[in-house]
Amino acid sequence: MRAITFDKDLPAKIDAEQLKRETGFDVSVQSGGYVERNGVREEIAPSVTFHVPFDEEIGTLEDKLAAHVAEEKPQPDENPERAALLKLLDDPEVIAKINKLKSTKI
Amino acid sequence: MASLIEGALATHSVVSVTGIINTTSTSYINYTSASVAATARAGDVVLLIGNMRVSASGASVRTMMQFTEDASVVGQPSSYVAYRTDTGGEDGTIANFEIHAPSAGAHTYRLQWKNSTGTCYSAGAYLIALMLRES
Repeated sequence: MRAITFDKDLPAKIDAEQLKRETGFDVSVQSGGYVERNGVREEIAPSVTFHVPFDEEIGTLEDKLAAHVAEEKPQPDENPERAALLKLLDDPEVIAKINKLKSTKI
Repeated sequence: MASLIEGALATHSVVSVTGIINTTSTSYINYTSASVAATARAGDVVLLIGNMRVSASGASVRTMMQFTEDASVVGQPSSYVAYRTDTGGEDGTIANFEIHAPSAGAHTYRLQWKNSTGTCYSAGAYLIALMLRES
């Protein structure tokens, strides 16, 4: 077995178990942080390490990792009422009506 | 042993790693960045001290750690069995201590870890290699 690490342009959060299911290989994920070696501190970039047989193609792993990262998109707002309200607040006409109401003496 | 300690000189290397790391590996793999280099002279003795904070993806998942010198395992592993699901990497601590007589020359000492199933998480670790030699 050998360890192949990728550390370029990765998000801080990657689901290791899902990536293991997708690739079939054991995975280690480093979410970033720092290492202090003999008093010298260095930042650690997020990285993914695959533990694979010696004959595994690196290009195949790169493709699978890229596909996995592409799926890690931000989730849409799951509360439809909140999403509708936020959309309304982007409407200039609605804002104008709210401001008019705020200035109206009851 | 007393005569060794009384006249001993010590050199040490230490690494401390902070940041969430996890692995799905059920065979031992290197803990990212947890390695130190140390050079031994003939007759030196190295004291290895290691520690990692861990949690796991489910109750009863066992996380184990061991030391290596270059490509060889040093001593016995230590373990932790999770009591719950947690991804924070700080539910328990695995500590290990070994004393070992290295061959003369440069060596790299590492922490390795593995789990029994699922995923194990760690929020940090440290490794110290304390090289003792008679003055």
